[in-house]
Amino acid sequence: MTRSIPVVSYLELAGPSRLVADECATCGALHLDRRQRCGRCGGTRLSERPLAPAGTIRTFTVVHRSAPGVEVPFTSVVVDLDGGGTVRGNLVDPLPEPAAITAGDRLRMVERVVGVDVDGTEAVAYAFALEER
Amino acid sequence: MNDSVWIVGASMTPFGRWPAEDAMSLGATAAAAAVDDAGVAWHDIGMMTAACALDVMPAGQRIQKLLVQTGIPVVNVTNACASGATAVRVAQLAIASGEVDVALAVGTEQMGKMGMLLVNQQAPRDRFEPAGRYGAVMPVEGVLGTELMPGVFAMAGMQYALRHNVDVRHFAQVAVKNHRHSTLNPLAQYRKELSLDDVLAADTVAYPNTIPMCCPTGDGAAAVVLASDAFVDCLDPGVRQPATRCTTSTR
Repeated sequence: MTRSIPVVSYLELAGPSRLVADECATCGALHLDRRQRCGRCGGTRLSERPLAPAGTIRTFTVVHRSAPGVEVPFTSVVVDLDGGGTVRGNLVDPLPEPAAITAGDRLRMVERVVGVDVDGTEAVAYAFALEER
Repeated sequence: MNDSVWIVGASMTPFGRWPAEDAMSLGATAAAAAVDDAGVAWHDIGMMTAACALDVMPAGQRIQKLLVQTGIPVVNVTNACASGATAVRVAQLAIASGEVDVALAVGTEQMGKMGMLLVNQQAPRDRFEPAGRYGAVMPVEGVLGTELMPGVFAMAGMQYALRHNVDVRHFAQVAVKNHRHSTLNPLAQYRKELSLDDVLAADTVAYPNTIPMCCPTGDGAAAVVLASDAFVDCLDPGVRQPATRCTTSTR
């Protein structure tokens, strides 16, 4: 069986996979990066909270020119997840007509394999797919 | 305490790609011209601030090695896009505090063709092992969206556009206006007027921004000489009269 590893540690591979944030016990702020204090209030008590696998688009861009080694074009989205938490990710293919994306568009999280290392371990990333309006 | 701080000299190099120069020689050119513009002597300068965001080695000392080495104390500052403005701010504070009467602030950069796109790029790894604040097992630019500047600022603009029903053409008009201004500035990197159609038809960098809607990468430097009230009072009237006060009096 192929071994899999999440591309970042805030993605938990399970059935179904989910994003897990650190939530501040004092103010409720959510963080996806490893922190020593809450970014909003400085609180010290952070505990894990799973995030919803769907949300509403906050913003996006279609990147056509990037650094060497980065495959273009790709669409980057920022998603406000249902129930809290905001995350940046790729939109899965196909490339949308940018002018067709509007405020309120709904997205759901999907998984995809984004690389295989020398041991055959697959890196699994999350991405987002636009829901039909 | 000095109530007022004045700009008594200023200079800027032309912006462009200057492969025969480096950030220090550009900074030295701007610094020397600002000091000449002010008409002050090097020994009058009580401190210097220097900003260079992409070169981690201290810029101020290296600029002095190209000019004069008379022991002017240096504070090197870095503050991303605001590095040059922060250099001015720190020089202003040194005068306002009463510590010095004259300060030189320099900002310089040599970005070359790639600029910030070469910053913070990780090399791919043979084995997937979590590293860093996000526990990433591989470089994630283009995998988990974009965090490079052209894409980040495009997303900031699109967040505004989606919320306020702004048309892409509104953003393009900003570029049209700015390119028109460039034709009036002999130091600008590009000096060409562009129509709305020119801007919209150019290749996209990160939607909605096309090439003429993005800052060019380039090389250049600027410098100002700041002085206290007391020092300005002693200046030749030809320098004193055009001096610009950069803080207002609190009296």
